[in-house]
Amino acid sequence: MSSEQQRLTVSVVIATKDRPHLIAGLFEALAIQTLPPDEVVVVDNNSRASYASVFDAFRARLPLHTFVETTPGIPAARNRGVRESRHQIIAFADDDCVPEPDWLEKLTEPFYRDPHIGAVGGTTSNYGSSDTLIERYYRADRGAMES
Amino acid sequence: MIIDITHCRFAPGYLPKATHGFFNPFFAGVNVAFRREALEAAGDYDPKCVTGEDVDMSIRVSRAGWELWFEPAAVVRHHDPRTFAGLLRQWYGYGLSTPYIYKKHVGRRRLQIYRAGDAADRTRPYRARCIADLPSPFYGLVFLSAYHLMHLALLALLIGALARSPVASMIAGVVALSAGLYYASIRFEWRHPLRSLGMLAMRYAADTAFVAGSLLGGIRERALFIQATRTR
Repeated sequence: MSSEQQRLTVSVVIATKDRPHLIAGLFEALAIQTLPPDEVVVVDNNSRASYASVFDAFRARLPLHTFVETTPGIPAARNRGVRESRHQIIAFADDDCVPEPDWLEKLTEPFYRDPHIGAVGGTTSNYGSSDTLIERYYRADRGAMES
Repeated sequence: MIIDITHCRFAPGYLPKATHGFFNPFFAGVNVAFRREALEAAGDYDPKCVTGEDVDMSIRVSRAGWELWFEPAAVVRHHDPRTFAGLLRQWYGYGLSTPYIYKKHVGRRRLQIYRAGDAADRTRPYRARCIADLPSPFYGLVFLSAYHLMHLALLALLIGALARSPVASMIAGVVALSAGLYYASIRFEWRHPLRSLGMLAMRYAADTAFVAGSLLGGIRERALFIQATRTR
């Protein structure tokens, strides 16, 4: 990022459903980003499980904005998240994922490089250290399996 | 297969613009950032997409004139253990969702026949080659692969046997066996035969889930969809 360029502000948008136990891992990773997000928009897609305690646990460490979207499905949840977000870059993260500490820094860097870049995608490096056949299969086929 | 376009992501850089129909490279929704103007130009995520809303969005952002940049250093890790049922669900879902996205973006009615590029070569971008692009009364997308040849030959073998034609049965049998052996040989490691057989079984299951999902998704969209994972 050149010093003359204005800093781009970043919203992280997370759509989630019934995974309060997993989202803590994502929040923890967002709280230690080398480039801290300007806001974290969480859209609860009408979960039965309660997120109250995990939201409370991270409110002091993350600029959390939480919403409930009753229309089911990822598209509706993401649209709500985009609508509620306020910043220039919108980064999406999934509730069952853990970004590396420099994730947001690396993901937003290219936007400074070329004003025509509208989207930046990263690598989803899976899959625990387990040596089960299924984990091996995912590793061998990564690229094809990313989603 | 459109999933496999992600395979062009091997080095940082601009994703290539589409060459055929809806064969746009795309970013999975799990790890992507947008410039707000680009998202606004593209419009909302399509609620009709059960899965593949990320594919659809990448296509629309690209067609709205924006560049897509792949940054491999931006890393996200899954921490959910993978399961066999999850693998099947994933590929079935991909299959089910692609005919809708295809119809939405390809424009006119065509029957397109594709052959997968060499997915084993990781030093070069993944390519799907369009072998034929024909005018057609219906939307169609057919992949030719060893998987499909093997099953067609098995069907021919069955018909040959029912018709009591030994010559036809023999030819079909030889073709089915050759295609099957080729399919099994892809990435088979002789040093680890058991593990390779396990991997083969999983690939076969994933291919079958993908083909079944895409056939059904195609029927829903009144289109002929016979897809293949990136294996040839």
